[in-house]
Amino acid sequence: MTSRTTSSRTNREISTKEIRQRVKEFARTQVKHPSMLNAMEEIQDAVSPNSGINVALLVGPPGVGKSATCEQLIQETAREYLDQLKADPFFNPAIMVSAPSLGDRAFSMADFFEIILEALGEPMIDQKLTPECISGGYDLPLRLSAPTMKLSALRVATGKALQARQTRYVIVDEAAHIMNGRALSEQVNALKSLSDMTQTKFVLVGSYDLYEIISVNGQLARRCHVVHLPRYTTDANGGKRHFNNVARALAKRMNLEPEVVLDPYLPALMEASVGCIGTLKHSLQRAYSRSLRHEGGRWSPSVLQYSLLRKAQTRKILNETLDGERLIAENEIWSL
Amino acid sequence: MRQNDALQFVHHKYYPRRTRLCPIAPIGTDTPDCESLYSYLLRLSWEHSVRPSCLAQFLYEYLAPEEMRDRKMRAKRNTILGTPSQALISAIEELTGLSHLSRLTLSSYKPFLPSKGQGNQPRKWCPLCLNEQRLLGAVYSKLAWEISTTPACIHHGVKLVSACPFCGGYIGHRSQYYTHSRLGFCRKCRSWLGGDGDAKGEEASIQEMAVARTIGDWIADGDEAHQWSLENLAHSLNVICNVGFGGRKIDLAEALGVGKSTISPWLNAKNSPTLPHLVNIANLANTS
Repeated sequence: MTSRTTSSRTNREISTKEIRQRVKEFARTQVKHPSMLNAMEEIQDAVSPNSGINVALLVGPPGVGKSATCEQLIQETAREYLDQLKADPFFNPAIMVSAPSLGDRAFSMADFFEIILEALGEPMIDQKLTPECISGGYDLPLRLSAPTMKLSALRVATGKALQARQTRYVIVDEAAHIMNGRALSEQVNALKSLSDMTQTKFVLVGSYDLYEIISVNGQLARRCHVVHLPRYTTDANGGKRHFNNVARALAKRMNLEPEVVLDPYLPALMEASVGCIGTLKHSLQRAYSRSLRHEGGRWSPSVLQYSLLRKAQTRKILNETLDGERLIAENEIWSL
Repeated sequence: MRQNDALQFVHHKYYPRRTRLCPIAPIGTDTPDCESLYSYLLRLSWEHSVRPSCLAQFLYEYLAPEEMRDRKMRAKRNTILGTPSQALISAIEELTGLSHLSRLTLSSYKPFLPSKGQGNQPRKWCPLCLNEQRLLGAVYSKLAWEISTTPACIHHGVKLVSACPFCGGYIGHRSQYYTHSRLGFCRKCRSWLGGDGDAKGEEASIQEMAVARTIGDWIADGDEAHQWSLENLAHSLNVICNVGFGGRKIDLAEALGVGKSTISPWLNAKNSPTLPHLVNIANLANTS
């Protein structure tokens, strides 16, 4: 009874607004760790102008931090091109989009092109003309209702928009949605052809399912590069140490009383998050939010316990991850 | 800054605000061959793969988003590009990140332009210039061709034409032509306005060439035109009257082909001569 009274009194001291602010700040926290840095470096090589690569695939287990890695890449690119970004307000060196999920509908390249145009800030997207109208001697009648004409118009507009903004690469998060289409080879070839036309590289981000893309055809396999963002495991070189360092860095960002010390729980945390930094961060974020909302800003191990994924969820993620890791191992790089 | 940011993307967090319209460079700025805003906007619309009327609507929504809800105002959207206002020029500059686009208009000469009537004049062009531009792959319309007073092409020494060589139709300045037009083509018969390629054009007179050169020089000195005022002009006109005509206003009026009562307000800085008279004054003073 006494405990509840203390808790509710302290609860009033932290306003809802402040709780939201503190959780938001924690959510924004991104810790760069060795796996992430390696993946970033590999992607940067793949998207460099003369790499001979059209499409880079960033694959890894769920919650390993693929999206966070891409956000870091964008941030890095913005830093690299800051002077040019200031001098030329139309220049857009890299963009990040999410491949749209269309429920029952198959993946549509038209929707995909629209998302890219939207991300580039291109105006008048629904009014684009077909190539015949643009190159013809006169503006011919346009029937945007015809899906093939709309797709053709959007493809040309996307190519022009990427070229005009000198976009080096486009990151496509949730790229597994592309595989929901009826003809995967057509869709991936359309991306390759757009890349050839504009010199813009595509970075497709997703789980191990994406690996299927390299088996679409030989030409595409030649122009694809697979980047694996692995989880941390106890048997990998320094994996446990790196995971623990990230966990400690995140704990420091949790402004609670008493100070959050995760050391006794690190092995359990590694197991519960399957060694994935993203999953770890989300568990800690839930624990942080719960401590602020219900415990008056007080830290206790029981809050952490309730914020971890359930065992069934962890098992599912682990099984998928092991399958994916097997796939990667089967297609390992050549030994010289 | 008004922008339609319906969706937020990760890269928006790390980049400074990006512009939405492609900053294509205007052609021939600071030369007598300077492109007109009409031509620039047409090229801009094709750069974005949309019809000129679509660009007009986009600019109108940008300028007056509230008014787009009004049906009557929506109907007016196509006229927006026909009469470029300072607000429109500022909007285009904001959307492209370019500056000094007012040089593509006659806004520097606004005090000397008739407030009405310009829109009723048919568009003019030099067929030889159009053919040359087509060979170079950059068809555009010159600002000098927008001025009804310009009689000739200073490069080819031929009179400007205003009728399609195939159907004889005129292309008006009015919006309905503007918003659907394509540079170098007749709106009515869709033919190339440069003719069949071996057109020689009608030779311009010495007087016509002098007028065309004067207008060309004014366009090239676009920024200096901002210094023009009624007072400066009245002062110059009084100097011409005193030095050239011994102070006899009637002689000056006769030389300019107007009545004495017409030039009195000009000499007293009460009102300004229109552009054709301004050209005559410049030629009279043998200076532009």
